[in-house]
Amino acid sequence: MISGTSAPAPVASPHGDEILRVEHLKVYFPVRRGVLQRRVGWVHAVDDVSFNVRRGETLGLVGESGCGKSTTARAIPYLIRPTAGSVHFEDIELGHARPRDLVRVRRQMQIIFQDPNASLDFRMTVGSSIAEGLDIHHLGDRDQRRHRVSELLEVVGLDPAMAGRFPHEFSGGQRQRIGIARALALSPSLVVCDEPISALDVSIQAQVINLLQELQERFRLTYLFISHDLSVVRHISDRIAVMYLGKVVELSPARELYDEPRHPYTVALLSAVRIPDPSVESRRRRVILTGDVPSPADPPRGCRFHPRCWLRERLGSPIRCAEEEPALRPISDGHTTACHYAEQVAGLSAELHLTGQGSTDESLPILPPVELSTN
Amino acid sequence: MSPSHLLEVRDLHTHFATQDGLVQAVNGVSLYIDPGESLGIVGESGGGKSVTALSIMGLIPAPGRVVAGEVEFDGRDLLRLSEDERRHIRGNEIAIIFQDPMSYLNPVMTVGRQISEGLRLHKGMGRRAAHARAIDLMKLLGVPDATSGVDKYPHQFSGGMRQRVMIAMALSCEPKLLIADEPTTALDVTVGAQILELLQRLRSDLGMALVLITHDLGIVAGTVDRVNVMYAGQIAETASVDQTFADPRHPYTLGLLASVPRLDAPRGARLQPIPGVPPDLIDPLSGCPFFPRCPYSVERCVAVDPPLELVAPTHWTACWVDTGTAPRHVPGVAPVVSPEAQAEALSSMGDGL
Repeated sequence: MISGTSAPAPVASPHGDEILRVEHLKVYFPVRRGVLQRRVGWVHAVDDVSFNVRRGETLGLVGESGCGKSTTARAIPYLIRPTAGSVHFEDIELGHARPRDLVRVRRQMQIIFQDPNASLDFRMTVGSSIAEGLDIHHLGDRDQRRHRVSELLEVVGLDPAMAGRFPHEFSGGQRQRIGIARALALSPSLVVCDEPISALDVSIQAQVINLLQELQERFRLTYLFISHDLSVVRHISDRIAVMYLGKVVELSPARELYDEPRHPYTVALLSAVRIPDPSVESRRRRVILTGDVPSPADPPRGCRFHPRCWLRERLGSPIRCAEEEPALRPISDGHTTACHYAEQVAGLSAELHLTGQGSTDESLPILPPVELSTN
Repeated sequence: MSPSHLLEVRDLHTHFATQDGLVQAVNGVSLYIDPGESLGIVGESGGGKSVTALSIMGLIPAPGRVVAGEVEFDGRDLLRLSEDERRHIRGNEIAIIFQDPMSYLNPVMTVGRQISEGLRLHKGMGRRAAHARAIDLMKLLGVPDATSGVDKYPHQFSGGMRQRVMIAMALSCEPKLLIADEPTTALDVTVGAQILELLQRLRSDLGMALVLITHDLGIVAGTVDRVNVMYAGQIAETASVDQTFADPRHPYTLGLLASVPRLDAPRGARLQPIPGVPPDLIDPLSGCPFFPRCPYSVERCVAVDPPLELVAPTHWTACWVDTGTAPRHVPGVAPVVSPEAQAEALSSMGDGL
């Protein structure tokens, strides 16, 4: 049977209890070459990533292309089988789940993809696309499914009469709404949003962000929200994990991440975001990274960020960064970072006017010299 | 019009005759840019930003055609020149870079040859001199190992480096005007920041004018002197960058600014999306193209398309309403709009409010 007005998931306290736990997740892809397709190496797409998601919250996952955020999104419901590590959804460990349990978990866990053109079958009416999950899981009879499709179209702000139309008859924003309706069809408790607005026009992005927020409140959804856009992630997330080259380098409550970033990569990312206000922009100081993101097939030794790290340069290129991989360590309550010299980053956000706030002293040097800690 | 303008576009119309009908991609655009100045053109896809740029370059692909207007560059109307004469200007005096370097660069030609092509054609340089200049240009743009990199092929470079190679090509003949069409959209955040920084530095070092086309208001805020906001193939508002952000007048500009999350905004506030969808350029409505989505629209908007009017020094906007004082309402359904216009507006809204 289909649940009535689709209130999903058992009722629970809005925070505190975790719905998803990812531990030491690794996803390696083989690099093959030659006629015999011999394996010549591994792409370390996701390399030892751990985090948890609490029921009802939005965890943002940010990073640049190739950092492993989308691979993480696909490994969580085991759409890609992880090379190592574990994914716990509620009380089930997916790697050792019985097939029946895995099916149940996947009903509870849905993905919204970036490109609604690619995720909708152009030969299927949007109604059958939305109902596909119900078919697969043998939920409801024909009438109930049709009713559910109408209900879902209405929930995402579309006319239920449009169920018989095909994807090409809709605009990009409308197609993304259909993608959202499809994800909601099975009343999931966790929705993984993989760059859900990146393919949309600016004015339409806000419509979809607002819709996602409304749906979260209405159906008590938990979101894992993946994006490269720090302004959007800040807007929607309760906590944020920053990824770089397959690793989480910083994880913190959203406000703290922006006010007090403690990883030099986070600082650089924040400073690269432009604020649509010239008076604010003229005050901000930028940290421009040199070079590109290295290949995940051959990640740098030690800290993966060290070849591009502006902080390391200021500290006189300590050898430790090139040799010893920093572990995620707690900086304050709920805020962890993977940098040997995270203490040196403290206070920089305000000085650089990273978020446009802080003192308005124009005489500050571009990057104040940082002193080495004595320990 | 003053003689100091480097480029002046007057009442440009560019149409595409497609199977579905005539797409009026650019519909009466006028703009100018002075030597050494930087101008931002912002708006959503379909606004006509790129088509304006391609019209200036004389690169409109079939079935598109510039059907009316003037493009005066350095005293000459480019639209009246022969193709040979235009070729002499394109890449030499006006250069353009695009969003995706991979579709612009030739995959089977070394980047060095591609950079030196313009030098040999326009400046009559010999092969060796042009090759040496290509290496200098790559160094200027911060491509590591330029001496060996010059003989590599585009696929051997990363996205950011390819964008640098494309900029090197564009700058090779020291153009007076560089048009950058979404130069950072395909790049990662940190690499995009490098490219913007580079473009700004090059502009001041080389004294060239820059037209920066983007959908990202943040990029405009930190980079250009003046802003043109485009909607439905027309200029909705044009002003200095400070005026655009401190005192926006056109409802579309206001809508864009309210709909993007800002890094410095208080958290938890809801965004205010622009309702509806961008307009149909094949069968445009009469009147102002923005009225179906506009929370300020009055009856006059439905009937007559407003012209650009001066509202403050260096600040023009195409709107009948004073958005500073006018009441807001649900777009398209205000009682001041006639019932027929309401029905038409509602049916074309599509996406929910």
